[in-house]
Amino acid sequence: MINRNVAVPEFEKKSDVIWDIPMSYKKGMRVPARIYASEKLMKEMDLAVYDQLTNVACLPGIVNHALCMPDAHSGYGFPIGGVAAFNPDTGIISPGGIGFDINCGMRLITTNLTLKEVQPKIRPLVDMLFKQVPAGVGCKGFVKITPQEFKKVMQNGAKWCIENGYGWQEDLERIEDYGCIEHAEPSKVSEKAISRGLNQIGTLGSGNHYLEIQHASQIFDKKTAEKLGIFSEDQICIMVHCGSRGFGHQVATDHLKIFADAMKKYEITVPDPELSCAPFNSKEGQDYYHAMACAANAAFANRQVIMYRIRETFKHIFEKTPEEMEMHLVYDVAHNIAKYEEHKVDGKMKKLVVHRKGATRCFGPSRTELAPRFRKTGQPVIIGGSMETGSYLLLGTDKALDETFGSTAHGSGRTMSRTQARKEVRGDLLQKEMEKRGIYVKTTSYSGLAEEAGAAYKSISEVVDTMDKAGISKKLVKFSPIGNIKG
Amino acid sequence: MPYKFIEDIAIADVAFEATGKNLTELFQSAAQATIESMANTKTVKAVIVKKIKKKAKTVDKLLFELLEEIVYLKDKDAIVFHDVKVKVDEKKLEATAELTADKIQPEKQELHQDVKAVTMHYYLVEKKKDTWKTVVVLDI
Repeated sequence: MINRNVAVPEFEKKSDVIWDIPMSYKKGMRVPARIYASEKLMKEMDLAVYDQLTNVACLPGIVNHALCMPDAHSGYGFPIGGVAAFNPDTGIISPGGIGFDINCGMRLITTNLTLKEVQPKIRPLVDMLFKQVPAGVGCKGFVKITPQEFKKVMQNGAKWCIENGYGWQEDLERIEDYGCIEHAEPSKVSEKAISRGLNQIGTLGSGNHYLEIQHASQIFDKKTAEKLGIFSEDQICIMVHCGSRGFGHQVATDHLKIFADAMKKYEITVPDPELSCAPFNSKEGQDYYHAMACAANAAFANRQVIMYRIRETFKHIFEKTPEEMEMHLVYDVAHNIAKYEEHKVDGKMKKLVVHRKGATRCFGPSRTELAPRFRKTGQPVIIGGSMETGSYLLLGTDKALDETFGSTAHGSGRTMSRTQARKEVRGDLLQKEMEKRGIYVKTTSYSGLAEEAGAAYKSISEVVDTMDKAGISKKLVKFSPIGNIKG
Repeated sequence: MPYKFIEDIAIADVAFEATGKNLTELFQSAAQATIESMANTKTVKAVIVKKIKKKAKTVDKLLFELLEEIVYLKDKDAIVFHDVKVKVDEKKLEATAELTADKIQPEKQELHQDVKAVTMHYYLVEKKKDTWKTVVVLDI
């Protein structure tokens, strides 16, 4: 059980933005814990994060440090913003280190339209997107497929979409792992998971998921931004945040139950039931890994189909083809996932099972996993802020490979509970106030909108500045919202 | 209805505490809290009927299975719920529930949160004196 009355650890300050918790803090810690945060973010940090992070440091096979990103807040098992890598031979895989929304992630799309061109049409644009990209509780998508065809989605991810006309061939090289993670085995997925997710391809869901029309409002490195298709500060882009929907949620639920029994079988004890896990190389561990890959691929497909609908909607509203509007994908990244990756440990490259829960892969230019177009820039990283404050495009660095298993933050991170936000903010008033500020919002739920108010989140600028200062991910472009769809 | 939503247990999610004099009351309260977290039940019509039957080895597993099935039905059938009636056979550890529901229609219903999962986070089912209590965190 999580201890809410956490003693603030005695941190070892390693730099202005790096803080270590030594192994002496808690019995059973196998490695130290490391937090990336400015002093301001440390002061704001939810104290349960330290308890959860040091619980992660107790897990078998963990390597180097249990890491925490600056946007962290407490979650289940791992904190949100947690990163941990495990030796595949001696270590574990844990659904609590990935989250229920497997491959929740971000997608960024360019246009060559300007703020001046889009602003007068923002209402019809957002209204039509709201119809074309279903959002909210239990929403259904337009893609109708059989369970058999859905298995192809699980195996091929975004590639299935391109083969079926939902995108451009060039999109694939601009998605993490080309939009298709290896080792997906549909036989490891329950019929229940399939029936839950079958009709949800092309949907946003709710919670903090959104589709946002933004303009580039600050470019930090013009030359590099141009290489990624961002040329000026009035350029319109579109950002999408969502995941694997009910399908991924059911995969996680199914396997958490299996892992509860597996832990007894393998005599693993953990400080928190949500950290339930199994040895990576065990049958249970491998079954989950293969099922998780299916859900990850379904999430890539979900965001790809959403992008197809966005291109179609822009075509209708602006009466130009998506090609004419240069609606290219900048990148698509996962921020809830476990990956089998090679990283340096004690000076040698080793295969590790890297868990990123509310954390984004941010590989530097040296990694061959990246498509050739990113081998000079580093991997694009998309950091979504609250709907009121804006978002960022960053670039991964080789320093991240040395320090964080190539990982960085994923968003701004909540500071206020949903219940508290609902008490302090009225969704309908917030919608009107945002419209006065030039942000047109459509939502399926005013209470849901209130819960996502900017005041409920940390400062995103503080988060990205922390990782920029640490040299883990470099700031490239800041985006400001002008239209938003909230589930 | 003896349930209340709890603040600050789960910063990004929804938590509730439900109570009952017996297991039927406890499960009824918890199921009601779960469907209310998805939509204002007063704005949902009773058009569709769904039945759930679950059996488990322990009370906590039985409640978990019941709530999880409600979350599953919401996505599988794209429905939100108007009402739920639960009965628990305490000897057999068997729960049956009848839910009335309607297809999701955002323009007609006041929708709340798209619950992803029932979690083990702080999950608790206990009996103290004559009262059963549960704490449930729903992932949003």
